Amino acid sequence: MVRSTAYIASGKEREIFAAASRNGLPVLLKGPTGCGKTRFVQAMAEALGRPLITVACHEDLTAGDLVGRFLLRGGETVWEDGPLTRAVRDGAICYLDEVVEARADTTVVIHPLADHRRELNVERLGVKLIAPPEFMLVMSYNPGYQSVLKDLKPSTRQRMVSIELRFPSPEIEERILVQETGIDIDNARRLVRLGQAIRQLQHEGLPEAASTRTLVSTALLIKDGVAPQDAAEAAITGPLTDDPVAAKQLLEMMRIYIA
Amino acid sequence: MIDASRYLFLACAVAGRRVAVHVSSGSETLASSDGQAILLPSTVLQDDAGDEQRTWKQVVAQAALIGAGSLQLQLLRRLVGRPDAARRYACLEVLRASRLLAARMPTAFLDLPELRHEHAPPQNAADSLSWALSRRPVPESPAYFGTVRPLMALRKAISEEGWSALTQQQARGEFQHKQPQRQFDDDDATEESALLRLFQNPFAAGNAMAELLNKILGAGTSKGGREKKAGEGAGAELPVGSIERALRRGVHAVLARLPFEVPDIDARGESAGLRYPEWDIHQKKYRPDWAMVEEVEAWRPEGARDLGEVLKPAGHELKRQLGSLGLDHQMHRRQQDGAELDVGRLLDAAIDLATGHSPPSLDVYRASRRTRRDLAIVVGLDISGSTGERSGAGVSVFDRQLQLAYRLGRTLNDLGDTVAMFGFHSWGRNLVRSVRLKGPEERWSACVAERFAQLEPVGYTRTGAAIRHGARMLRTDMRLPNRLLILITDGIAYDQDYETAYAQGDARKALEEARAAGTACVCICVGGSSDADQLRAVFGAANLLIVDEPQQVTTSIRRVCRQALGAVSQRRLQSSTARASR
Ligand SMILES: Nc1ncnc2c1ncn2[C@@H]1O[C@H](COP(=O)(O)OP(=O)(O)OP(=O)(O)O)[C@@H](O)[C@H]1O
Ligand SMILES: [Mg+2]
Repeated sequence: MVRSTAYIASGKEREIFAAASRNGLPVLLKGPTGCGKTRFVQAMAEALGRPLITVACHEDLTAGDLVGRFLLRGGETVWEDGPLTRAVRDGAICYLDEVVEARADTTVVIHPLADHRRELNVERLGVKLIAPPEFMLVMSYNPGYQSVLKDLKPSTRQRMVSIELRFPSPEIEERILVQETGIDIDNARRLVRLGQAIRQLQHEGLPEAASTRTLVSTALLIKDGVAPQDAAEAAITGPLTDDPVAAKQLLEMMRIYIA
Repeated sequence: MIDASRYLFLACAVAGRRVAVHVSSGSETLASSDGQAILLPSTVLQDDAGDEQRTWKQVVAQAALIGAGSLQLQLLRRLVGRPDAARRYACLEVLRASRLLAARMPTAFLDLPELRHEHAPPQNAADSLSWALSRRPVPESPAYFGTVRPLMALRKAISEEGWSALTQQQARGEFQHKQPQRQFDDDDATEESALLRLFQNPFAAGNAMAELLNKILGAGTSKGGREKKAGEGAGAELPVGSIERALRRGVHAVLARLPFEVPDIDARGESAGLRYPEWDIHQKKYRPDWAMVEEVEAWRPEGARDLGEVLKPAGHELKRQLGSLGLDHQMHRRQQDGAELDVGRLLDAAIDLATGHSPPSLDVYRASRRTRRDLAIVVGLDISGSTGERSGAGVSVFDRQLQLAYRLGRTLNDLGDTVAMFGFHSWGRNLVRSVRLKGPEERWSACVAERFAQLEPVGYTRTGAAIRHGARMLRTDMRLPNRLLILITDGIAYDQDYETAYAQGDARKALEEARAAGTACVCICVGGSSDADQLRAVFGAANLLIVDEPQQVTTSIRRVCRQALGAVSQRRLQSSTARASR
């Protein structure tokens, strides 16, 4: 299967991103999981003709993981660039996915890169790299998650141009499904209605909503010959919940929405 | 047979908020809703598989009415005593709602022949109302569209004073629990003889009733509550006499049902509601599955109140006081000293040293530190009618309770605790409502304040069910080692068949159960309580805080919560040593 990087915009996000990149401003992408953040960055990297380096952040990600470190190799110590350093050297777009997950000390390296200095301090090597104009810092974060103290520090946040992506409107989401999977418009519309409906259930013990991603997966299964209801159960209910009561309720909805 | 509860998610998704789905045990044939729960006619129970179609369509239609804001009080009021117009209104509104909410409605519903209309539906609910009241023809309304029942929705509209008046009278035993001879409902057309009887009924006598009438029907202070508006189109204006009759009838029907005659429901299925046992102190045994608690979303038919003054954040002192609650030991990485080595850090440090860097600090240990804190807190807020009473100062107990609950919840949340909040009131054991104010997983947002603004003090208090419900949330939804239940109430009060010794006995039992399961329980009364002695007997003096103003809890809240948390952890300790020594 060819990996598509086509992105259908909902608002002015392309223009803002492009302008930010021309002016050396970092971008903060907000939006729920599966709403198209990664896809958007990929599409922009392609449009701007830059390499893209993605870092999936997690709780144990340290500044060293981003910048690089000496490794012990048979008694020798060898330096290895981290992804951020590589991106600065190559003039790439560096995408820090789910940046709130990273440890607080990573912000120490991010700050001077994100403000007007645009410099990366590689302390261990004793050098400061000045980022070329092509380098761009993009971070994403999902504001919906309950992360008690992990919210982004305001001083970091204020250095960013923020682009808020939401789940697309029904019309656009229908187009996405058709474009991504080749499903027919009637089935696409049914799936989008189901997705819209499930998104109303924020408080029913579902940790996340039915994202565009889950609808795309469902459509792919349907396109491949799986019965619509089975496809929805496998690609929407399964990932969404393990709770048997909630699963039963969702199943009931699917029966009515896509029968 | 149909299990209506299976349509719970469907209903919530279309309505856009939490609603319950029940099957009525009455004889009405059309579905309707009071804005919080959808009531299906009992005929759906006979539907076999082939006919089961009928059920979900009714659910979708009613949920759409909720989602589109069709159940506004000021509009429904005009439909009291006019079942035909009510049905016309419901029909127009289902058509309007289906367009408005099309993006999230099932295609199978939108494709039904009755929904495929060429004509433009009304622009808004007010348009639907004047259309429904006029002679203008209305499209054929299939049975699954259901209807609206103004009285059912108005039931909730009795304002604070009305309710507390009723509660007090009931408390003094002035109202019998017996049923009135005849119940009026939304399907009745006006009937003179019944009206006569109505006025012979002591139930409806007295000034309080007249005031109530004004309150409920929004007739203001004008005598007799006449509604005179000329030029609203043919049929829009009812003859005065008939309005008055409708009003009286409305009040009576409301009264007749309200105290304890809320719609009888036939709840079944696992998600129809949660059932809790109740302790019968007289028989010395549990009544299993006795009280049914349903979880709903806060909703006020008149719209949100302005609580700007009430929901002001707490001062810094409360945060300081609560900050030291539930400190706990926890392993921390990257410590300067400690009992174990942090191997990852140690390697890094070794590499640093090997490459000629001196690590900034030797934080290579893991250590147990006293830290905040795995504390889960549930705040249960009594929103029964009695709390609506105003005190001398003019601020109702209700508002003071809201303020306290909001401040406590907010402060504890800011401190990093897992906080859930719910309001509770009831109308008998089959209708205990838990109104969600903040879910345990939910982040604090403006939604919480919005829900507070949708609360209304109505109904009664079934303390035991509230305690059990809060304790269950702590135990099964939040699952943290330290659990605290804070109940904010104005007394043990009562509910149908839930009074004095029985109520106290059950509440005490519920507390025992909670504590045995490791949940600390604290009770706070704002504005004093006529039940102080009872509360003390139930909660224990040490776990009870009675204050006049919310800010007065600041000085003693820490002591009380600490003490309660300490008592349960002591108990845990004892039971674990007992286990160990066995
Ligand atoms: N606007 C869009 N145009 C085209 N495809 C889209 C769009 N939005 C979402 N998609 C589809 O949804 C899928 C998931 O999107 P993506 O992986 O970008 O989500 P995400 O926001 O990065 O999620 P996460 O936060 O979990 O990383 C994509 O692979 C693509 O198929
Ligand atoms: Mg992504």
